[in-house]
Amino acid sequence: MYRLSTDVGGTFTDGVLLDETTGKIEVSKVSSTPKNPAIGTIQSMERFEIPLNEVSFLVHGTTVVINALIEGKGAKTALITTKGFRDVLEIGRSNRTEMYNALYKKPTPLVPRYLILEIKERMGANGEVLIPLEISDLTQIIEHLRKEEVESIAVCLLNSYANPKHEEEIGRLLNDQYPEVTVSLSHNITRRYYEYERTSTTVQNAYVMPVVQGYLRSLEEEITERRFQSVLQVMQSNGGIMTSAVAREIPISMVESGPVAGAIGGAQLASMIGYKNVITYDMGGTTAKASIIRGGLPETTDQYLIEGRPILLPVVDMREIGAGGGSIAWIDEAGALHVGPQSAGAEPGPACYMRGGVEPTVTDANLQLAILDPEYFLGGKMEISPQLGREAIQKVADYFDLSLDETALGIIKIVNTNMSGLLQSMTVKRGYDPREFAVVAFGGAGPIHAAAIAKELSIPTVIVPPSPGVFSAWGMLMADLRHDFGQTYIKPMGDTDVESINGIFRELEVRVKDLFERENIPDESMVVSYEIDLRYCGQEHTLSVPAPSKLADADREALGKSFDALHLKVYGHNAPEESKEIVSLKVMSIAKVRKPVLETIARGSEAPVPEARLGERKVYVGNGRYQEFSIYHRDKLLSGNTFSGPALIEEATATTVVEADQTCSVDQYGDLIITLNQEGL
Amino acid sequence: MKIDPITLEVIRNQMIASSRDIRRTIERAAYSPILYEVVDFSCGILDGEANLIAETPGLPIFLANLGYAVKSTYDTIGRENLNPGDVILCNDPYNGGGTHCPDLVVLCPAFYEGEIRGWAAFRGHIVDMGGIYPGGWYSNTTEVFQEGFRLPPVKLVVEGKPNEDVFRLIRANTRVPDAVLGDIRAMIAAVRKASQRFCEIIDNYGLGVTLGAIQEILDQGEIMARAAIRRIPNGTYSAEALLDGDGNDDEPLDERVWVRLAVIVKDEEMTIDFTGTDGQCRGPMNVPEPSTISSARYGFKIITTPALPSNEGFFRPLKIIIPEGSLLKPQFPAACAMWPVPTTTIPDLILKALAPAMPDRVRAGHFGDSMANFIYGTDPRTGRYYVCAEGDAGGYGGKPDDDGEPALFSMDLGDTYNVPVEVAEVRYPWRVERFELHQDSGGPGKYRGGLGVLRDYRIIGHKAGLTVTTDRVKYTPPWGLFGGKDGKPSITVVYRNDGKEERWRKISNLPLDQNDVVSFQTGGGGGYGSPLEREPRLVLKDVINEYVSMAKVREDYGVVIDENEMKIDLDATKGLRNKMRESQERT
Repeated sequence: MYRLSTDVGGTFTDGVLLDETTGKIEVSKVSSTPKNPAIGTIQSMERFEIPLNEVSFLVHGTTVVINALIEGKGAKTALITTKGFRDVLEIGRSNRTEMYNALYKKPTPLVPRYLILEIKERMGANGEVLIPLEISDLTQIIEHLRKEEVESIAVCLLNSYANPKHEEEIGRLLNDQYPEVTVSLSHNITRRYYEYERTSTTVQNAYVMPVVQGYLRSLEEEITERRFQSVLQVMQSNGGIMTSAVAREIPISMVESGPVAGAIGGAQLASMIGYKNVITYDMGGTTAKASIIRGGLPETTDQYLIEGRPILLPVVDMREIGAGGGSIAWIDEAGALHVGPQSAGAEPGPACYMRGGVEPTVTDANLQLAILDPEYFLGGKMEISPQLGREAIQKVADYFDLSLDETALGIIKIVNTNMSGLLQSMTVKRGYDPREFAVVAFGGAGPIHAAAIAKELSIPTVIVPPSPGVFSAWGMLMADLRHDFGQTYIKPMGDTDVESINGIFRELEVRVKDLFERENIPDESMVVSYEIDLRYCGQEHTLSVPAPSKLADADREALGKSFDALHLKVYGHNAPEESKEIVSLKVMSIAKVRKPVLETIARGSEAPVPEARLGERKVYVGNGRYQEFSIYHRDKLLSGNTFSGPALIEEATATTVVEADQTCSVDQYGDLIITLNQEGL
Repeated sequence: MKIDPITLEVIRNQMIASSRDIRRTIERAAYSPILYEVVDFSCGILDGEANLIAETPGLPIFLANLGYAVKSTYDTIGRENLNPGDVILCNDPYNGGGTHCPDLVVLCPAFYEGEIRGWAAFRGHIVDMGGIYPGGWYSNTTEVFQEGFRLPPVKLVVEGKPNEDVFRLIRANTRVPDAVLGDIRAMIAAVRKASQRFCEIIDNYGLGVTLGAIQEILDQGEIMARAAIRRIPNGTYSAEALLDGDGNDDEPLDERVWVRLAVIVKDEEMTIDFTGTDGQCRGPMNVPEPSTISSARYGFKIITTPALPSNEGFFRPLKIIIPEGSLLKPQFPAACAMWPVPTTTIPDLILKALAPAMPDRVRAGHFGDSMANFIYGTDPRTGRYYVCAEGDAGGYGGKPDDDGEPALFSMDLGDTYNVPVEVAEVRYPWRVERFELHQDSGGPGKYRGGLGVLRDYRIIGHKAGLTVTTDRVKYTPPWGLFGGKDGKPSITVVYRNDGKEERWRKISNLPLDQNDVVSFQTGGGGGYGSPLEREPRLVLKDVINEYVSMAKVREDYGVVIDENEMKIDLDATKGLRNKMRESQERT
């Protein structure tokens, strides 16, 4: 039997096939088909030429949700809300992110005002009914929405996080009387407070729901036709997978479907080879993305923005900056040099691609420095022009009266420090020391830059997996099923009744079990963990501390102490004498998917075989100096090979740089492990 | 020292990153909503000579006077008396603060080889620093002594050790000591971290290179600003606004207050001249000079280089003239609690003045007041005293090619967030009864002004106090541009529990009874271009979306809509618009 994953990206659709009996991995890359992404997905599967009834486990990552949101191509959506609060979306949080821009524009709501309808009802903050639901109002609302030919409805009532009764009633009636539309009830998606953020999440869910349902339906028809007999799994933003049945109801939870798979792959790879704390670093053509894995799990955050619109759901905390192979070097009006965030993208691409690009990019600079080999671009499959790259860089070099090489190195230095700044702020923000982490580098450009960035931050180890260009799809094969639920519950810690907390934990567990049951996961495969968000009374933001599944009175002190310690670590100060407050309770549950046994590569001696050595290349390293870099062919390297930098390791989809004071060794799975020599630390 | 462009860019980005770190720490660790939700603060990195090198978006009106706090620290404590590990605090409007008493400035010097080479600075609003009523923001004080506990620059931390005397003084002088001291702890942690980062940058690149890079960063700011000024046609552009004045509505102090300014553009230099502005007020509407400078710099930045982060260099080609003893340069001990009122209008006036010179880069007037409001009392649920300090969002003016934005915080504020209804109901003993857009508040125009909001709080189970200080109501509503009409001004309405209704612009310490409803009704932006040129289809859309009521369509836009079909009657519209144009020409 096989395991198969497909990851639809903007340019390419990647596939990874794992043979469960041999542990052997194959990869495929086909062009994406934006009009109907299912076509590209099927093509990426067909490349492997295996019957789909031999696939026991199929995971899919897709951009269908994010594209619908970015391109505004979702369904005609309506919103039902509490009387007096019709404009929650349009008022938003009223902030201006561009403070000097006189012509600033807010994100526009996905639902026009005439499709936002109020219903008479009101819950209090403690879940008490202040005004009973006037359910008869709904008949008129339905009539209006029918006339408007609405396709999807979001329902988000004020304080429904504390008591969802009215939302449930509305949901039942809509199902009954208006079955032709899809309905999203806010409490089914999140039970956190902050009405704007919750409404925004619910509306985005409703907006993409018909699109996603249509897409998954057609994909499932296609694979069923090809005799697929198992369950289609979909990658979620929180780093877990879910069955397509669940994905149809909470499609908004797959918005970051593709990118987070890299983080999951990083976590899995690191734990396989014995690293617990890693930073995943994914650099492609336009952006670089980083996430933090601690204790084998990716760090998540409770909220993020897409097109300025908040989504109040857990997501792998992935930070992105505009730094990729296509990032453009440019000079501003005052004569300062910058790199990115503008990118030459896939079209026209870097100047050396010969597709009409004239601006110097990071890729052009790497080519100029001889880090990249013009004869072996994409494994020799793509012809590029060093001359055009040189001409583009020349403009910048002339302006500053620098040599071509010096300019190219400068472009790389700027982009590297922008990225090390990203990594630093992610670790420091949480009170971590970057030196306690290893970097897992992937994406087309990640392995070129990782060694230099790690050196700058004194990170001792860089890991480059095989086929770094399709690592996200590989990561999907390693993902576990995961469901998270949170509930806002605001109570001073001193006088909370632990039984009511335990009660909520049990309720959240029931919701999780219910989902797993529908995914045919038996209870005993679930691993459930619990967290409590705490703060000092009077603070707003919280920190999460792990909690036991069944809280006893005696646990309060320990929870308080771990919060004090965490506050000190993250913010540099704390106040243990102050009273604390509980803000929310969270349940995270994972059903582990049996991990495949991966194929190991042949064992060699310390020195690589002669065929692995492709010669040397002079690379510019600054101050007028050139250094001989040894060139290796990655496919010929064997487990146990160890060699010191400076070196370049070439493979079809990537080039890995090993700096002068670093050593590279190859592990049993073919991963490159680059370590900083003692004197470099 | 000439710095290579690569090192320069790297240092620039790292300086910006360190000022961002300050914001992150404050946002997450602060106690008062005014800091963590409202983001009523700003952070900056300065050099040893008090020049701003890098900033973080926050409250723009706070930025350009962080340097003033550093200079006051040198003057008051003495540069030679500062030591590594010290952290400075000040809030005196006339010495180090430069705004009003509830704004605290916390500063941490970055020492390198025994010399101060930089500063990490933070200015933020806390909920209470003493004064006649809670909140520190009043309409009727007449001396700064009534407005709160004032601290000239003092050492809050001495060589790494907290100066407990100062902490005790603060504790004794605020109504909500736990929250205020919690906030101060977060501020100390944040500036310390950033000051340390500053030293690490020097460690990495060397002192000479870092100082050289700082100079170059400022020089480049200057070059950018000069290039931008050159793109504005030479000339003298002026604008003025008559403010409503100070004192409570029922006991006015200064009833009419003129703010006048001229923007003089000459090649690549600009002067903003406030000559003609009224003299200082008896009440608290005076603006300490550093804040006048900030507001002028803010307006300057908007019209010259809006997409770039600020530093001191940008302001080198800007000259600011402020008459002595005026509203905008008052003499000690003039009251100044309400200083943000004029400074909200100043950048808006700069846009208005320059409209003829750059019509495609300005918008019509915004609602023009931060709608600062303070509600306080004892929470019957917990027995604890609370002070809620908030602003409210309103409408912005129509743009050269688009309608104005609805519900944004006023110009003096920036990346400021409102307090969500669900959060307010947990935190305060109120019930929010309505929070929606204010229909018909946007000024009619080819591009309509954005709408203000209606936000109603019912006071539950206790007696409370209310202070509001709204301006731009009586004399200068949000202005239209190029034939666009004015927006509706803001007002606060109190619906008493006995059915009576009161309307307030400015009132301090108004008693509220349980079940009274306070309704903040903010204004809309002005329109841009004549409403008779607005596409009828957009007018119909506004009616369908109920931004504009059917009743206003004819008189404001000259559009005729068939109400049964909800369709535009194009012929009737043409006729009506012609008639309206003719009658306009006659008058």
